[in-house]
Amino acid sequence: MIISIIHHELKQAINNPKTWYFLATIQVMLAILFKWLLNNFLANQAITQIEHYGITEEVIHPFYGWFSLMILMLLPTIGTQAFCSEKQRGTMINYYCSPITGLQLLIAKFLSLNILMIAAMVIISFMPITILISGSLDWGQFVAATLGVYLMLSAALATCLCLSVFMNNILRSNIIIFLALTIFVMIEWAAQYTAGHAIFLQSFGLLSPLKTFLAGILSIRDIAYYLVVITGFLLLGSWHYTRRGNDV
Amino acid sequence: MQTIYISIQQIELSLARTPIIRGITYDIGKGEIIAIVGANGSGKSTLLKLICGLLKPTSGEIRINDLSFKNPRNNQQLRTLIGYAPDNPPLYPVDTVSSYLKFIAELKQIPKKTIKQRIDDCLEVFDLTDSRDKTIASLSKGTQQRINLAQAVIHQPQLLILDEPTNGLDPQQCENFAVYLKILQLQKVTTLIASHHYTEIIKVCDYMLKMQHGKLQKIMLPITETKVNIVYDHLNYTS
Repeated sequence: MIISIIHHELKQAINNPKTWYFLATIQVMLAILFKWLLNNFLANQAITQIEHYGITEEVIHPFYGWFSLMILMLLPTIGTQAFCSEKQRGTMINYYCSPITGLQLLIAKFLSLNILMIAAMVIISFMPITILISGSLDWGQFVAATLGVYLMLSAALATCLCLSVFMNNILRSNIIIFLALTIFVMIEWAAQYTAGHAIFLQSFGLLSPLKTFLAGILSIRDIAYYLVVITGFLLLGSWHYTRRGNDV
Repeated sequence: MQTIYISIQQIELSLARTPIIRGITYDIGKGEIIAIVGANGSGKSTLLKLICGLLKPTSGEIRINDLSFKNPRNNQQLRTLIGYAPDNPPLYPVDTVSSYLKFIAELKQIPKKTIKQRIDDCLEVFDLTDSRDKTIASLSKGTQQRINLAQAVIHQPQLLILDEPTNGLDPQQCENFAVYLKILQLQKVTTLIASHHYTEIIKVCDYMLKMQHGKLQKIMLPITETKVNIVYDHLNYTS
């Protein structure tokens, strides 16, 4: 049943022109960014003639950072489409009237959006790989960065899906998901200004483990953090789906 | 009355502190076709949503085949028993008719081997065979309504709940649908129909319940021999 829903969701996405506009816009914006980062790196190298960090740190690191931020900004819209829009169109009844559990539905929606996200990541990964034409790439750092971005965006996606289950109004859903993600990202930055009183909050920021990945370090603790966030929000969404009130 | 299939016990529903359903108690027998009539806003659709578990009553209980939605363990079993066609068809515009029905069949956990046969049967019954490969967005409102009815019966439910099923159907399609409901009745399928078009459904229902201000106001027994005979004559003719 999960496979049927994934198949249906992907078909809906592929037949929706918005998906292609979304992928194309990201591709174009990141291509411009990549070219700018590369030019900047080459210019710096030519001027200073000093051994700076390598191309992976100077180009790939900020490239993936910007990619993560861009997707994070778009995730509220994507998350809202998954449940809230279906509620407003009345098509959620297809699921409500089927012998399907909340968890199965959440997992199916999560995996289908995840596949689209992987597709977007594969497309943009060609840009860093082009560095191989005239230089070398730190593969360890590249793989760690890719994995980190994927895990961070998956955690954010699970958060969006969970909140979308709770919402009925598309506009309100977009705003609340955006605010929730902003808090999730800002919590780390805010913790630095607490003069050590709440420094532990730094560990809960969505971006803090990503920094480790971008530095080329694969940490079990960071992987576990993202997996816990994904599982936790999917379970919370599933719990609310099962115990939903009279919002049909 | 035949064996009680649906038992409605003192159900009440309030939404945003406004009472919508006010203490309804009623028993419905297996294989009965019942029309729930009433003006707009009388609570017909809400009552149907309560029966199929889409809404939760503020108080009271509804038991279907002795199972209640109050126990979450019954949910899956109850959902395979019920077929629901809402007044607003829950269709995906970019799907083709056959792919939508296939998706619904998979959601309803119909065995893979029989899915194709069920889809073909539904397409034939609801006269959708010519539209099977067309996208839903390109079809008329009447055709979309027939797809809505097809998705409700695809898993051969024991309880069919139809909210304004004749919306958008022409008189001939209404007639065909009435005959189909009679065929389902012979298979002991219980059917609840909410409608404000008395004339179209009067031919097939065993009796009508009138909703007014969230209460079942009175029970009318509209069946006349002539009307039943017309339907059965047609039934014999088609079989």
